Amino acid sequence: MNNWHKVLGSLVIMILTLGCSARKLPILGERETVQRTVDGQQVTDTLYHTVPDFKFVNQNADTVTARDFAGKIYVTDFFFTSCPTICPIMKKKLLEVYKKYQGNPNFGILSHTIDPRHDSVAVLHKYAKDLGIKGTQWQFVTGDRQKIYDMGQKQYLVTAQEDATSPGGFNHSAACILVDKQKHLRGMYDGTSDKEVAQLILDIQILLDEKQ
Amino acid sequence: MNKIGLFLVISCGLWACQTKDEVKFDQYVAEGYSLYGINCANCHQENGLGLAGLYPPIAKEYLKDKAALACMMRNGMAGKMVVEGKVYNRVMPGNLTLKDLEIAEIATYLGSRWNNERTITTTDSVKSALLRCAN
Repeated sequence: MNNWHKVLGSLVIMILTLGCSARKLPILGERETVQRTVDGQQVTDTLYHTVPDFKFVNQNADTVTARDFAGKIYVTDFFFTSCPTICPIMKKKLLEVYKKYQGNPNFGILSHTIDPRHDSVAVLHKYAKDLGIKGTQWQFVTGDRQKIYDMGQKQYLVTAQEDATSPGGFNHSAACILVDKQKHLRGMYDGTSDKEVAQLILDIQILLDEKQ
Repeated sequence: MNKIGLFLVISCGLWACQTKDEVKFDQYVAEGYSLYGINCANCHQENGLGLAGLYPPIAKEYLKDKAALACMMRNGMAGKMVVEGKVYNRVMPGNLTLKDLEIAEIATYLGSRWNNERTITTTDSVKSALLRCAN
């Protein structure tokens, strides 16, 4: 093998290694392209699905909007406090995520109740306290029922609705959705799976390290 | 000792290891283990330690009275509850679909795993307990 081959070989290895170590997360949801003219040149922009503004109330009776998550990465999910099935497992797993990034000002968790009739601010306050959550890094929010369902189904692309045939009266997915600083959806994880939650913990770090 | 004699001694020994009652006990524990995983472990966790201040652990103090335990599983409970000195106050949903036999199996499993019991909670005792539940 001559020197050129060696150089070429190491270049290929370098590119491969770099490509692997800098794992990028996909952007989920529908996207559209728009054409626009910049300095007489046609350019194509891709518009990604972006979580719009919202307004709910948290466990401390404070209003929570998308602005509270400006410049932050957050994980969001849908649950209800009297849920006998997957919620306790999801909360136990999310507690691991919370403990891993506790105190990080660039990270938060947003849990929506899908049973706002029962899960009042007082109920959510007690729930958060019993789970051992202090402060507002992990927010438990309630609000208009239809708006919560719409956020779940249309924005975070998960199932969240009333369903008399499900245990506890609600049907919702176990998904934990990872949202980046630009409000793009970057990952969905089964909140009851050890493996997927471990991946979520790794992926949060990838987003935290991501350049703007 | 001849071979037949040895065979007899071993068979008797094996027979003595597992009486009919012990086999039944083991079956109840095995069934109870799997039912616990499906119906209870979401909140109380596989290890029985519960979750923070939300869900109490499986505690000995509530395992002694099997009649009350059966009623708890079938009808659920609400209101304040002190478990190992800590106050919990959250609704536990009842489980109306659990059969008497299944409640007996879970009770047997709970007693065996968290209270070192070696006796079965019978289906008959569960049946009569459920007729006399307070709520």
